[in-house]
Amino acid sequence: MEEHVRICHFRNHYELTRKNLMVKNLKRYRKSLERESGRLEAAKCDFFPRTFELPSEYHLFVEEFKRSPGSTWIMKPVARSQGKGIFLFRKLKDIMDWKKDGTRSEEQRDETQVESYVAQRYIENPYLISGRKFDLRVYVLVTSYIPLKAWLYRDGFARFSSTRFSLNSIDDHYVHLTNVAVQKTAPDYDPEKGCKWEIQKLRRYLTAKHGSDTIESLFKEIDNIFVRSLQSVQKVIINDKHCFELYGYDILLDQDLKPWLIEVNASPSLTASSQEDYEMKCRLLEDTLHIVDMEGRLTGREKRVGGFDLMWNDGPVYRDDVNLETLGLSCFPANTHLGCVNDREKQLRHILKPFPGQKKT
Amino acid sequence: MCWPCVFLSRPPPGPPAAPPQHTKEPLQYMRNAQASWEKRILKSLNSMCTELGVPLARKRPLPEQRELSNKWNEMGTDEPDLSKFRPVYAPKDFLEVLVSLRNPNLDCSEEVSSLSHWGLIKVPLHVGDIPQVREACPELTLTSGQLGIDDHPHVPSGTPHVPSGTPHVPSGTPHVPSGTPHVPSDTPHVPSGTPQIPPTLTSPQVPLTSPQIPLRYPSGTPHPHVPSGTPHVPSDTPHVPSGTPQVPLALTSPQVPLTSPQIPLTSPQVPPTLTSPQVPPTLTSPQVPLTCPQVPLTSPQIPLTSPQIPLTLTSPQIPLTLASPQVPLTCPQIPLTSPQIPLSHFCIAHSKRANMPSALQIVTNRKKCFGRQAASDLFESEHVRLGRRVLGEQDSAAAQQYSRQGCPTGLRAPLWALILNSTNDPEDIMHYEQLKAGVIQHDLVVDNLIYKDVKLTASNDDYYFVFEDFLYQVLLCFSRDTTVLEHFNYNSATPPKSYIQGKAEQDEYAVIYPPNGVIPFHGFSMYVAPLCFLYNEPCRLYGVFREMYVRYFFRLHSISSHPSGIVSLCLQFERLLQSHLPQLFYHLREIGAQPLSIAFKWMVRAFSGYLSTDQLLLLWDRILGYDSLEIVAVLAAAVFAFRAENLMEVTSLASAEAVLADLSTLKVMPLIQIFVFATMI
Repeated sequence: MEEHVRICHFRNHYELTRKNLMVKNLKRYRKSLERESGRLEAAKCDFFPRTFELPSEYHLFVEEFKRSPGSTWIMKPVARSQGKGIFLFRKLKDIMDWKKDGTRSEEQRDETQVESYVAQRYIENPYLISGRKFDLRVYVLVTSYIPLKAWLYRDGFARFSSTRFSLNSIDDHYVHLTNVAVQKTAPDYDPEKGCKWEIQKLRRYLTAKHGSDTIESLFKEIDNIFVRSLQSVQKVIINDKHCFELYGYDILLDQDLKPWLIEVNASPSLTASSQEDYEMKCRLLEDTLHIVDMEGRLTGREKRVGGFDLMWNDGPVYRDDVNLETLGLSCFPANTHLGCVNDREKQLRHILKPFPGQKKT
Repeated sequence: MCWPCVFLSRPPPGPPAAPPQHTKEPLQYMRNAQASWEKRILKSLNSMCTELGVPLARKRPLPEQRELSNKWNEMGTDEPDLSKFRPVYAPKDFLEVLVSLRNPNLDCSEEVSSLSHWGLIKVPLHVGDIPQVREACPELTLTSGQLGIDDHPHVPSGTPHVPSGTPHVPSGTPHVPSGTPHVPSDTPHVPSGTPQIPPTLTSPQVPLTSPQIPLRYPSGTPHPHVPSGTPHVPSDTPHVPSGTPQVPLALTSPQVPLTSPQIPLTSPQVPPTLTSPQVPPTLTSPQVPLTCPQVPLTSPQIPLTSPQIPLTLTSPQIPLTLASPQVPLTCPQIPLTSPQIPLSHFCIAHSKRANMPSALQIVTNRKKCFGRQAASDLFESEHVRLGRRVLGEQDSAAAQQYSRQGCPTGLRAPLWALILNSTNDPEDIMHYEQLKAGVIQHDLVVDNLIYKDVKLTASNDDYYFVFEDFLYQVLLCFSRDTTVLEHFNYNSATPPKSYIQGKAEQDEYAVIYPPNGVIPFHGFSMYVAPLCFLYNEPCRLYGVFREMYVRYFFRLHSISSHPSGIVSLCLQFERLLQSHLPQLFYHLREIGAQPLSIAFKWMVRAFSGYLSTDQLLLLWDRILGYDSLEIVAVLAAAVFAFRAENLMEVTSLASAEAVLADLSTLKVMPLIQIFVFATMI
């Protein structure tokens, strides 16, 4: 590959973005952390719901399932996206039926391999806003795995389900899945209305309800999810300086304001549902290209480029503007600004060197 | 009958006891207008009911009751057929009524002169001009701390801010070709209060007016800021609107060289009052190189467009024009080399774009030197601490005073509840549950109006759509709440009555309808929507909303002479524009775009649905803090001032509306501050 070429995926990105592999990597990472740094450190990885791969871990799953009677589980095909093939269940019988169904259809299609699924403990107490469930879509850009260099985008959005949440109707996909792809097919979906809040709105809303300290720590925990999940695959992913990858993280909050990692997407949807959404995604792509910096307009030492803040650079990155009050504290504020004001244009004007040949204005 | 005088700000009726309607509204013609307006609303409601063949109220059959109570938390999922229902009235119908209001004792000739009122509201009422507003809102001065200025009180800015040294460049372009009205995206930058700022921001103006350069300014709109203590230029000559609205507005605009032949730079009338002793001696800054080369003050040839000479303290869009042509801002006595004038600030302040509020930049830049971020952070954290103390004390009056400088996002909900004395005790919860039972038992026609309104407004809002269910839970209960009736003791409106079928006009068969006496109009639900942002439980939300309504919001749709009433607000808005932005007002009037016809919809909803929520809540903080809606009129005028430059270029009502269509990028507090405290009076 030639020096100037850049590719928008790492070769085995599926280690993080396939549901079963992500969980496998996270479980392994957790174990090694527990070995090396103890339980407390390992507990920081407890941000994904209990998950089993089917059919390979079927027996482990049945064991766990019986341990917590009455719980709700969700089945997802590992390699599909946009909410296809997802269903909820509470009884083992349902999944038996599915197994039969599944095999039959596989036979019909003449496929040899059984499609693998993950069974995941369903978050039964999601945080609701006015009775609606939502999840967060946040963008993380990785420009290198060794050393790990990851950027967090300030914008993102919360996707609301159009109907009201209740566990009584577990057959109703529309309630449970917040994917826009699923919501779009809901009978009363109105594209004009949109089901999204910018993440800034959500942060404001949560701050108004719970106070700024609680929400600061919530966002800190969310940062933790990004970093840990990337670290979990750091050793497996084949690093290549020509590669970069933009991940779309799906995060769910529960009523105790604990964030849960639902999944990571390697090719986050970039189709826009509204003008606002369109603009946000354009900004995102533009800033991604700025960081990839094919034009050589950056120094490579930036901590912020447009809406992206450098979150991890072979170690945590801290804010520059540490003021006197925080100076005394033991922990520095991290250089992450999810859901903060994105005044990217001003910042970009500032850091970007002019194009070669372009006159300085 | 004994009518308790609930509203305290009006003097209690002296002997002989004033009739109760005087407590509601002392002016008879206002009472009459309100009465006939009510008649119209009722007629409209009745005719719709007759047309559709629906009764005003009916008891729901049991299965329906059960169904409703099951889906109480998801009423928004219901999609009743509302196509036949229409809002009883919309704000523009109400505006028509206000425009036709007349005081029978006043002969208002339609002839336009500089002294007559150019606006739509023709009744004489006493409304505050800028000096009164300043007096009433001392907490809003440029030097006192405010939430909502430099800080991002809701969303932490977290900006590792741009390395200082480079002046802040506004993103709005200085000149916009007519035809395509450009809506400025940037907001003026007002530093939040810091003690470092010299109280007199205008001192830089002084050197501008050297004896060699007696300036004459184009006839214009807002006057340069001359704060108290500094020489005030009397504008005793009645302002004559120049027939050429094209006269460039901004002195600093690069397109407008002030040496242009239209604007003679000589003026014989040098007011003798402007003498140097007023230059505050406090402004000395010895480190300043007084011989600053950028400011060739002694040269009579200076083109006034030189970006090095900041002229006034105004926002980028508030045109920088100075006083009327007759008032030269000269000040011959001030020695140009006076060591008291910190010339350095000129140099610091000069911006690449000349339409920048230069004097403000001085402050901004000064603050940068002192650590601007640190200063506003300091105020913010101190303010939050103070807020916690106020809450700890549970002192309602203190909370109200506190709210004048803005409530921090995290504390706003409890602070507002404290100011409004809205509690969430078991009695309140029980009261709410009773109302809810009332909703479940009976179906009212107004419910459909509420449904319709929520669907038309809040559900279409890309922010408030989430709160649809909350809105029903509050508004349906509100319509059944008879405790709301108490506010009619001091509201000029009278609750509408309906009669049991066949017993028309017999008072013993009359019932108030709807039970709370308030017929919702188009946009009514927007009074509630922003509050959903603050309160999770419908019951608390309900309590706060009801209190907000009976204290403030009812005044926005009833005809009265109260200073917070909509008539006064409209008049105040028009007066502010006429006296401080006369050229703009005249221009808009000439092209058939009366400012009030654009601003009315904002004021009737107290800006809800027009501003972004964080800004709206900052505005409502001040409504609560000052216990008055006047700030709404001030903001409306400030918005016009802010976009004046663009408005001057439009030639039709539609394009004027386009310029003002999107207010969601505005930052309200800087706008208000600049308009109130940086406009020369």
